[in-house]
Amino acid sequence: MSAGARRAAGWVLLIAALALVPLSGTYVTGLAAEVLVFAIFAMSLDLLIGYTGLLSFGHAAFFGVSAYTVVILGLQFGLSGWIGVAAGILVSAVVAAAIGFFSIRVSGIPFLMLTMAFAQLLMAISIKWRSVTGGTDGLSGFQRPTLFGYSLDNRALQFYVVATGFLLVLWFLRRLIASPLGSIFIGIRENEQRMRAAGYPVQRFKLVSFTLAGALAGVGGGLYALQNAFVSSDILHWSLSGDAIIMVILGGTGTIVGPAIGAGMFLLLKNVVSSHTEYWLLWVGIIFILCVMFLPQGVWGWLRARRFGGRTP
Amino acid sequence: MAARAALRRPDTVSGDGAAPESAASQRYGVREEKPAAPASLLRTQALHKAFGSLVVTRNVSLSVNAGERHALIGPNGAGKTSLVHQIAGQLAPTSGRIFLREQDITAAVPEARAQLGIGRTFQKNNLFRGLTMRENVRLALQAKRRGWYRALRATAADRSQRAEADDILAQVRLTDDLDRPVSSLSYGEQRQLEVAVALAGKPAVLLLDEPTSGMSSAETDSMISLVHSLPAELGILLIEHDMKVVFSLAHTITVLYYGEVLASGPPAAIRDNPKVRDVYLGLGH
Repeated sequence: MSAGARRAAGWVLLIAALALVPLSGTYVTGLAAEVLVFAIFAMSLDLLIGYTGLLSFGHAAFFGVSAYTVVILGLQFGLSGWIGVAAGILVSAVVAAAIGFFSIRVSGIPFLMLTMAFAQLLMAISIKWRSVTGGTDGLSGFQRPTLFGYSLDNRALQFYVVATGFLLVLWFLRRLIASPLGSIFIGIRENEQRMRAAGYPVQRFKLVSFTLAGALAGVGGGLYALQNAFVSSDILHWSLSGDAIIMVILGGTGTIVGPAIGAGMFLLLKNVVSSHTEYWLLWVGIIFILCVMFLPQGVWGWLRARRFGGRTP
Repeated sequence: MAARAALRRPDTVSGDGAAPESAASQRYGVREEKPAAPASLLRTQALHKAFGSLVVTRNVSLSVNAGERHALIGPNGAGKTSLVHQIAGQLAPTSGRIFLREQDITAAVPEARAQLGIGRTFQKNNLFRGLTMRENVRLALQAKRRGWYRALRATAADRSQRAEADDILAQVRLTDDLDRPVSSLSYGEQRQLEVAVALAGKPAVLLLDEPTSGMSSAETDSMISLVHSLPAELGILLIEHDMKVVFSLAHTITVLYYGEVLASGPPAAIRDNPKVRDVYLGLGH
């Protein structure tokens, strides 16, 4: 099969598989929607970690800000969740541009600490500004929007909306990474000094990458709000940023699909293992350590190297 | 990196601002100067760099004209690479000025200097290691294209850029299996690729930092003929230890000694200069 035919077949298989998921009952459908939401989140983070070489530890900020935007606009102003998601993505991009503007001035560990500090700042605001954010109790009572007259309270419809968002983000990232802009991000990851010597304003492109990643995390956050109709300050907690890093590394940094697989593994472990033992994080930790030791390219990176020997979706 | 932070210091060059500035000058905040001397392509003026009490560049003034092959020699630790870093912008001088086509670029960041026409290679191979040979050159080519960030068009579909990359690779005699990653190349091939990446930026001045270091005698000969084959109008500043390379290429030789210019002139004059023979050529030659 040619590369183009294989790619097309991959998309068809993926869409068919996603289309069939709601047949497997509401529990699985809900879990699958959650996986896809966090897959979007993890893929957006990998744009920074895997492609631009920026280890951000505050990515929950953009996910959370978008989710809050959707719910607050709905509760306070009665705006539809659809407008909310668009606004959420925009707000995430703006917040990412602001945080990125300061954070990219440093790199390595200071960058990691700075992004985490900004995310913690947003979490502190979400806890203290009770009148708007509901504090640690969170905001409930959000009315899900409707699609073609059907309410998004329907699990299957929720799933299809989330799956559509996932496919769009997947498509966008694939185009981006193959584009001139994507090649600049990869160049920065590979050798920042040489990029500057070649004439690239590296700082500007790091900010572009950071803002794009924030906006894509906003897509995930907005869909999270539509799915859960609830948001609390937990969503801005640093541990969510950490979870996303684990998802990226489990699946494979510097791959597009890897982080989605990592998100699936992480959430399956969480759901399956936590029904047997409350120490589910211990198992996640053990698997994470084994993965880093024996599959440093992540599960997808390993599969890709073994099976395909090249690029696939 | 302290060096990088230092490079972002504000523009300290003052000017009357009366002269109209070119688009490139406005973009990068460099000011054009009225030529004081006959126009040279690249010129340093009383360049001085000190790290605390250690002076690595002391009052260095040199120039490279279009088409000139200017060799910079000197014992280890003479400050040759530091000088190249200052010209290309990786290191900020303590005092003194650097001019490209009589524009003061002393305060410009490395990427701005690259866009204005300074290309360089590194003494230690400094490539995009995870990428292929072709992609290394293509990325460098892309930097000089306007509007690279506009489209989401696949780079792999850009045939003209690919052909251009292949041409440049052929110029440095890399023609076999150009989709090999850098990490699988031999050391000598990486040195050649280092030159190709610098050439892809279409520089007016090329700074070659020890292009033959670590090379076998055959590889060195091939590098000499490679440099000979480069466009005649290109100005080249060449750092080199191998006297065979220096004397077969250079029009002008500048000898650095403890950061200072000991002598500068045509090869024959340098060869006969007693001071140079004393501190440098006499050692091991």
